[in-house]
Amino acid sequence: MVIIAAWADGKITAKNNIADCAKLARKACKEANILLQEIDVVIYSGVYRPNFRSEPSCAAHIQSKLGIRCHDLELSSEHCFSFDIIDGSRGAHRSIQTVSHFIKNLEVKNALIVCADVKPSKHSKWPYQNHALAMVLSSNDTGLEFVSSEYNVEKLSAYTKSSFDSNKKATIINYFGDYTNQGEIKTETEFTSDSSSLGSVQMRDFLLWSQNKKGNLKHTIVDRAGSTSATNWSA
Amino acid sequence: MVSGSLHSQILSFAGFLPKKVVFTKDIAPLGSIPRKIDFERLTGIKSHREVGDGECAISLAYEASIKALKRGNIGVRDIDLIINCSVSKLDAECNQMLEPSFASFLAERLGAINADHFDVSNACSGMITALKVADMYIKTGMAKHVLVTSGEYTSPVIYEAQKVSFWLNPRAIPSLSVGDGGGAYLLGVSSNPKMLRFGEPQTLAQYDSYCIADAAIGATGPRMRTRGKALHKAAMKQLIPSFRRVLKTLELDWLEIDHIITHQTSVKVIERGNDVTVDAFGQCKCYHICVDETGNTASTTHAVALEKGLEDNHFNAGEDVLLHSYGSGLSIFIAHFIIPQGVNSWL
Repeated sequence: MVIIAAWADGKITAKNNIADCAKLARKACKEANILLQEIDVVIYSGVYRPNFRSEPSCAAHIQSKLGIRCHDLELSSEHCFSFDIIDGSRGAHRSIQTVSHFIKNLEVKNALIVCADVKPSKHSKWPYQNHALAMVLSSNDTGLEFVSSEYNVEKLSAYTKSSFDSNKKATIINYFGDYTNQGEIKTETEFTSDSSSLGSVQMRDFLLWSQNKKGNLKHTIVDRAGSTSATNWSA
Repeated sequence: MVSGSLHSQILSFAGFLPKKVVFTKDIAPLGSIPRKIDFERLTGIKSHREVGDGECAISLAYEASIKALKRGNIGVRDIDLIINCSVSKLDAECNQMLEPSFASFLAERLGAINADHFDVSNACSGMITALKVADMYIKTGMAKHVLVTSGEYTSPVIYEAQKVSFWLNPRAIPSLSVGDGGGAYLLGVSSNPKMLRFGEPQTLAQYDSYCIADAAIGATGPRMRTRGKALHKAAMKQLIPSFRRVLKTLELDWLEIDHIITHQTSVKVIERGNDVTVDAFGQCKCYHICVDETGNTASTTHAVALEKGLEDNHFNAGEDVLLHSYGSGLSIFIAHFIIPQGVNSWL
């Protein structure tokens, strides 16, 4: 079983994004009754990072900030590993799918997933609010159970990339193509997030909607570039 | 628990280097670095490769991927999943591709219309990390053929570093050691659990600030700042324990491993690492070095080293290879695989 044991979300700052994400992670771990030192893997999924940082992984920064098993190797020391998964708005679903593999293969008991995006530079036009969602996944709890996921591969309709603006003397974001515009759709058992939201917000909105629900649930994320992912849950 | 009957194997691997050769003596001539440091002598890196006109991270990944697919005799439409691990997702104008995933651009370019795709990002350990993720997808039955690929267009950090004062920015000096390259591994299903295995992955996150890459300030493209000595010290400290652990976990005999490929950072570092492992375990059969001609090609270093080994006719089917990766963070990912059949006919 792969369960979302607890989650926490909130606004974060670009300047202190790692510290802000770590706060949310601590809150989620506390609610899940899991010690930080019991986290076996940290996965970060988010596209937009301060000053377009490409290494190290943001997951490593969060692991460091939380002090999760930050010690040198010995023959039988216990360790955590961390890395980033990036897939537009679908990053949360990807991360959950990947964690489920590790849990089902008995390599990991507890996982921390942080989905976060911040405005990469003050000169960029960025139509979102900085936001982060921290989720603790576990095999040993009751809660919303992840069952499966599917990913549809649509033709890319839009993309973003950075470029250097010589007038502003800064790196900024440029937007190309036609962004998918899928509004939120809710039925009794299915929730499709608003495609204009960041991935962390889309996931958070599903988690809010799923509270107090029972039975089989489905969550669809529609990525801004036109692809979709759907996850199936048991509540 | 995942089914015990499904395992993964590496069907093929490929590295790709662009044609343009740039010599270290031209980018870091004697006198250009403080304290009269001879960078070529310090690192053993004589030259590296750089992209030419129109080339970029995607094209490097593409070229490596095409080779891997041909060698593995798998059609592009049979790929179920593409995972890209590039650290530097730069186009030909040094713009960073942000979304959708870099893997999706590669899938489109390859014509892999049936492939799912996403990115794994873990600095220089990215490809080995992605191999592990791909292994999980195959073991759970979610994929049969996975292409793990990366294109590293990192040479812009060299020219960014040259613009700053090395006296004021000594952490820019290691940027001179990089090179451009592409890599690809094609994975498939196996009933044999020993074809592709992994050591326990670790991230020693107390070292997360030792090597950071982000956008250059006031200029196009990326920059990289590295606490070179401190990072080297941290990596050397973990070397023997990391090897001891993987030898124990995978029940390997150091003296029997046919090929060992460590992260290609500098000749001196790799040779120092060999000296240390000789003391601990004895002299291994063969450790590979290609960084003298390629520079540090980030996540693709092992694939590029494998390609070099292939060109030098070092490999035979059935031999085993241990890939030991260090990545900024500090992440340690280790993979062990059996060289597939047909390797001698790939070139």
